[in-house]
Amino acid sequence: MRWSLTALAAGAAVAYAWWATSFLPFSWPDRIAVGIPGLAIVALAGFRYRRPRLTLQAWFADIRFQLRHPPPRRSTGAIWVWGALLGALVVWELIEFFQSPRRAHPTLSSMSEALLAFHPIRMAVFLLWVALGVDFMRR
Amino acid sequence: MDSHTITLIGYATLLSAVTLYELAALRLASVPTLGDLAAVLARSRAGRWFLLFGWLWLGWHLFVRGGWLAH
Repeated sequence: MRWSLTALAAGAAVAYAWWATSFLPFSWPDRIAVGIPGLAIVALAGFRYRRPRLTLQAWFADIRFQLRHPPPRRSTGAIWVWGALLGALVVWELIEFFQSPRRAHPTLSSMSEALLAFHPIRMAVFLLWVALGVDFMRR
Repeated sequence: MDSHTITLIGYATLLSAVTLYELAALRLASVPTLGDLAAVLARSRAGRWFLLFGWLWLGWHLFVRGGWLAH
């Protein structure tokens, strides 16, 4: 029963992704089809992100748990390496973005357009995008 | 070497570095993965909204304002 529900939900998600990515860019049907999951996930996140009201007893239990199970230590330097790598990628993208012609100075977006021209790839990227949004919403 | 090639080499170098660092992070416990980095951001409510609006912008940029029709 649970598997059939999962298969049904997966089939519906694939069908929706195929339908949503079949419209022309900058068109109203496209805006609505992309906006529905986008706004639904933002609305659900707004509901989930509300600060939970803990009872005093639950709050003390949470503090006790944190003291018994401290989070693992992470290297601060490693986080700075991530910052440097992602920052360099953003700087490179901006350098190319402000230069022309686009054919000589492609951006990540302009390079992805060649792949997104294929409907099955566009549908797969749409599904990944929705999955990422659900992951962010559940954090 | 023309500017198109230099641009592609720049992207390839940076994306390879990101991929290699992520692979290293999956093997070494002391190095955080990109997911860990997102988890650090998601610890605060402002960080969670930052991630979510970044995600919303990405979808709009790719699917609504995309120029794939020209290809």
